[in-house]
Amino acid sequence: MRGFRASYTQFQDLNTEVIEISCDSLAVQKAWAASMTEPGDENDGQVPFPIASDFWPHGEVSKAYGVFNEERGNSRRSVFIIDEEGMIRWSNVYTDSIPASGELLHEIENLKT
Amino acid sequence: MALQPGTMAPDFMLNAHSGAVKLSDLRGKNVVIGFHPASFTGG
Repeated sequence: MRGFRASYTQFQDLNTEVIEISCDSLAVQKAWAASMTEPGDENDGQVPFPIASDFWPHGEVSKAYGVFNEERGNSRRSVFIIDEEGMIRWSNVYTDSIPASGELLHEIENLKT
Repeated sequence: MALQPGTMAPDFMLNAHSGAVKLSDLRGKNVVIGFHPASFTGG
């Protein structure tokens, strides 16, 4: 999440929005976003992209994207890049941390070709 | 198995810290969706 945030203006420069999703409740997402507030930033330091709650029906969106972990009841760490027409152009599931934003920015630049 | 490239992204509307977010409202933009197991865990 910090990586997405640090690179957010670069995503915006590529006409790209970012959405973070987990199966935590909305209250948790709000608390998390509040904890990430950075006074002095634009937008009153708020996290500039949505931290979304896939809590109820539990994991519904994660299931639709095939990344719900049925054993743990949460989302698998994963990234999808969706183009301007709404088509998935790139996806990956990770066991550890997500890739650096630079890799994703590179993939988005390649969408135009 | 995760949805693969070439698949239309399923639309959704979710509540977020900043209000509701609907994927289809973002048509005309690229969208990066990051799923993560739990908040407060880096990611």
